[in-house]
Amino acid sequence: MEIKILTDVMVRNNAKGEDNRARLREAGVYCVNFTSSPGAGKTTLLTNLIPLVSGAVGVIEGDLYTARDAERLQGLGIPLVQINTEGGCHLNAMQISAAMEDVDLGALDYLFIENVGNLVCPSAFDLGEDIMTLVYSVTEGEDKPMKYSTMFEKADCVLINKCDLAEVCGIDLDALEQEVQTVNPRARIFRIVARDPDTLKPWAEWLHGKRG
Amino acid sequence: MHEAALAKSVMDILTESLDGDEVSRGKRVRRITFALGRPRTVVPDSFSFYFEMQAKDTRYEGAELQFQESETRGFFIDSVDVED
Repeated sequence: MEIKILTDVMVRNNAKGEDNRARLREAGVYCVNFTSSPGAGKTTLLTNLIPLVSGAVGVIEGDLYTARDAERLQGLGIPLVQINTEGGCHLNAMQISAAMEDVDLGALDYLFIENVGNLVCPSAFDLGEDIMTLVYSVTEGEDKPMKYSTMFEKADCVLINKCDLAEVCGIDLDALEQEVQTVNPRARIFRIVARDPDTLKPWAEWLHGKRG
Repeated sequence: MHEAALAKSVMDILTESLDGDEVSRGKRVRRITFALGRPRTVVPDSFSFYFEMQAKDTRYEGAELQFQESETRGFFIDSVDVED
């Protein structure tokens, strides 16, 4: 007996993502989902970015194992929740919903989610964020935007990191930006050195403008 | 790796759907047909591997998995075939 189901497999995650989004908006919290390959510089970025942000920031950290990233951010004195996926290659909306229970959303202006390092799977899982920001290191080369197009297509913003290494890595930053824009014409692109807070100020100002 | 999580999601969705109707409640599933758009977010072989692993000793054990190309982006359960 054949039975029509006609259901998106992602229905539960998407519904929870929308629920998360509604909770965040009701609380007046602007949420950014930071994605990248492992080692592209998300945690270093957050460490130097958060002091530049005008407003109260909370962070949800995602990793397979350890609390190392959360430990690196502890010195900032901000609300922090660590999620260990224990093998999961991405965060999902249900995990974010549970983590939000451990955060006083009423005391925040921004919620930053540092996703599991992975240039593929997180693109498929809506967490309820306002924007997804992809951190891309010049050490990854010029050709990944086309090769890993699903992640780049979903990004609202691409931060090209470690630009101080572009010359030694043989990277043409203009060509890299062009490749990103070919895959996703709407993405805003910023060139940064996450270890240098001065390079993060333009993006911090852009973020403030987005929040309104 | 996310195919493992998706396999569980499929079983949860189907269990809720099938057990919500007395005609299909508790019935074994013989075949599941999926619609998969491009660019793909699921690798069928990988999904099948994890589904078969998780389906052991359940109503889904032995179910044939079919993947049909779709013009709609995403990964959908199109239909199931259950025992009469």
